[in-house]
Amino acid sequence: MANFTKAAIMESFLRLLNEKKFDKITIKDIVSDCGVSRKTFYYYFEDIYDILEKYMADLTEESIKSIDNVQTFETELIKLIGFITDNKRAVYHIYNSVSRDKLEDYLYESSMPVIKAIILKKLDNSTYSSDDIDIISKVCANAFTGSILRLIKDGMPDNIEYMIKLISTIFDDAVNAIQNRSIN
Amino acid sequence: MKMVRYAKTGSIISGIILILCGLFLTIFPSFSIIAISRTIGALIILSGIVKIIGYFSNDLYSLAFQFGLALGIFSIILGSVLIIYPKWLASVLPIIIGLVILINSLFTFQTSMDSKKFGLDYWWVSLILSILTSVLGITIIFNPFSSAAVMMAIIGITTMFFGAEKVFVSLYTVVVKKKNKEQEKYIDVTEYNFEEKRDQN
Repeated sequence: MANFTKAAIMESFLRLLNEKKFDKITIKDIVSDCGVSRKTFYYYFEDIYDILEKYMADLTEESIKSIDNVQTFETELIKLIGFITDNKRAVYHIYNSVSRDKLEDYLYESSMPVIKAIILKKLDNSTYSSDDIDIISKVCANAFTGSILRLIKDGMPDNIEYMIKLISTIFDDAVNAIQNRSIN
Repeated sequence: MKMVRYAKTGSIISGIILILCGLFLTIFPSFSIIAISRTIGALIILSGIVKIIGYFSNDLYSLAFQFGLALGIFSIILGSVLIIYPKWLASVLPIIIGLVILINSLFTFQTSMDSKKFGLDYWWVSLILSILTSVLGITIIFNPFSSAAVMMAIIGITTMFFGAEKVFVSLYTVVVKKKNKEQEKYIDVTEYNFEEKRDQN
């Protein structure tokens, strides 16, 4: 029940974020929307920035829950951007706030383990060391994060899923290309 | 729900009574000091009871009564002393009134800062009122006036501002909100128990 209250505060926050700019949301707005007292709010969160941080941390945790059952780049990356496509306005408001780094961190930290798991699966029998795989995964996660941030900056076009398919194709081809090739 | 309503109404009423008492003192500064002491004592007790009710109520914003328990107990004790020993306290009555107003206004000052952080638009109104009342409270404590009548008139004016501060804070920051069915499931920290805390951990 206690976590239910915390989740309700977070839901209110997301609902408000879909309506107004992040910097314009106050604790009063959340408390009034959610119906919990100010004391209860402060029991769970320090301030508005803290909710965003915890919300993003929860999303990251949720996205890497099924890390053992990763499928293709396309399916996993589409799952990752689910939050973005479902909450376009909210994401746009976070992007245009002082807390943009939280969005960037979410994209990178949620995609990195997933991408790494797929690459590990694909390069299972290769000669690449775990450090090499780490570097390759980071390059892909950075490419994914940067591309999504650019899409958000450009106002998030409707064909975002098509772009994810293209990014996934690039990742697939890149991993296939290095699969049978040694850097040394 | 009812408790918040009682606390809000009680606080507004005690604020209005303070304004009226202040007005009376300003117009009739030579009124009997014993009667003033007992009236103020009764008012302080009433305000203390309201503060305690407010503290235990489920006020959505939890601003006006956030220090209600400590201030409420203190007010009831002080009010009782003023009623029981009016003669004994007559010579120091202005200092006591000044201190009570100063302490309460300093807490309102903190509340106005919390209101700003919380996101209330008119937080600055209570800030200005609390600063003004605090300065007047300090003036009463140090009593730079030669005439007792002037002193009483200043106490009257200060009491009016103090009442206005109380009415504003109660009207603006005490919120009675009826929760919908879904929201009734949420647990406010006042109802929080150890079992739930254990579940959470």
